[in-house]
Parts: sequence; C-alpha cells; structure tokens
Amino acid sequence: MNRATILGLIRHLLTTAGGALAATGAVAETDVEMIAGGLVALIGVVWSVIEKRNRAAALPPGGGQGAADSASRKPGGGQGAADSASRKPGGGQGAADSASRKPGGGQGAADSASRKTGAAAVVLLVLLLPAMLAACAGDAQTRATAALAIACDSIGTSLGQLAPLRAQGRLTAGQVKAIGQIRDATAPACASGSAIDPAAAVVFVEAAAGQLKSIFGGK
Amino acid sequence: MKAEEIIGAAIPLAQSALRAIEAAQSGNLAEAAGHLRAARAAFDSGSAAWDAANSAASGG
Repeated sequence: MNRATILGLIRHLLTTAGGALAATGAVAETDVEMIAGGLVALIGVVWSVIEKRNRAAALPPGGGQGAADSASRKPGGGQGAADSASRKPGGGQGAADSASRKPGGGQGAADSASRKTGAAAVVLLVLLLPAMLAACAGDAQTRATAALAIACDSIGTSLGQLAPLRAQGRLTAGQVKAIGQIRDATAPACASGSAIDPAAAVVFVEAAAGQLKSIFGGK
Repeated sequence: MKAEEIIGAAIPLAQSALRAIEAAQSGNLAEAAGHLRAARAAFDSGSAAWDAANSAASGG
C-alpha cells in the first residue's frame, strides 16, 4: 500500500470520526473536513521527512551531503514543503543525517532519528485534538476530564516512544533530565489511582505535553 | 521506526482522543472518566518503559 493510499484511508477515518461529532452538533461539517485535511497534511509532511532521511541513511558512507541532496531531489520524490525547508541555507539535514554519516552510525542512527520524528509527530498530532474541545458543548468537568485523558495519553505514548532512544543512549543528558521532570511532574495527575481533580490538573498537564513537544521540535 | 509504524502509533491515539472529545460533547462524565482511566494506563505503561530504559542506559 503506497503513501497516497494510506493517507487516503487516514483521511477517511478522521472524517468518519469527525462526522460523528458533526452529527451531534459538536463541530460543523466544514470544520471536520478542515481538521481532517490538516491532520493528513501534517502526517504527510512528517512522512516525507522520514522518507528523505531514510534514503540519505541508505547511501553508502562517504556519499556525503551532495549525494543525500541529490537523492532527495529524485523526480517523483514528491517531497514538497518538507524538502524545500530542509534545503534552506542553515536548515541542514539535522541530527539524523549527521549521525548517519558518522563511522558506525548508519541505519541505527537513522532509525533513532526517525523515532524522534515519529514521537514528535504523535505528540503534535494529539496536541491538535484538544483544540476541538473548545467547540464542545459539554459541561466543564466532562471537558476537563476528556482533555486530561488526551494529554496523559499523549505523554504516556511519547514516553513509550522515547524509551528505546534513552536505552540506546541517543538522548542528551539535558533531554533525559527534562523528559524525566515532565514525567515526574505529570505523574500525580496521569498515573493510575490519581485522585486529582481533572479540572485542576488539565491546564498544567497540557502545558507539560507542550513542553515535551518543544523538546522534539528543537531537534 | 518506519512511517507505517508512526502512523500506527498516531492513529490509535487520535482515535481515542476523538472518542474522548465525543464523550465531552455528549456531557457523559462517566464515559470521559473511562477514557481518563485508559489514558492513565497508557501513561503507566510509557512511564514504566522510560524507567526500564533509564536502568538499561545506566547499566543497572
């Protein structure tokens, strides 16, 4: 199944889920299309970046930047905005490509970078969804509970994605410390058995999830 | 991680988020609380994985 097919299925899935919300009057049908389109576009961009990095990593050692750029400009690559941004002066290939050119780096380093990108994509994707809560007509307590669920789910998923990177020593000491602090700070609200009122915790936990996103965004 | 795996991780998360939003819209606090319990279980799992990774990285 190619990328276009998978993205089409994702769009259909999101539109279907959004249709359920539209049916209850939570959001307008036009908003559902816009949100689904935006999420699919986001996934598409992330996908393009990952494909580009994987291609660069697959080049033999010594292929260098020129070869990587050449590969990224193959006809039909369909890289679009992602490649355009990556070719900007100073934009560079980022840590992934840098790591992939190190002796012994190779596919492992590229996989590591892809995991980081994937974690960022997951966090970013889920961070977009709480915005939909603003359109909800439910009571404040239910909205807060749902929003906290989304934020905690996002953080938990991100921790699971980051764990292999940590085990492989692919995160800096500062990143490890920051991630650990976010985990520890949100655990009272997000860990099982918590008795904290969601309405009191949701703003803080959402901010923490945003911090987690910024860690990856800077990579 | 392959793109398919990333999508595989993101879509279930988006689906559960949409269900939580739907619960909020319907004003069903019990359903939203159910989503929160599931999210907390996901947090526990991710947190445990992070702890295990820390131990592995530090040689413990």
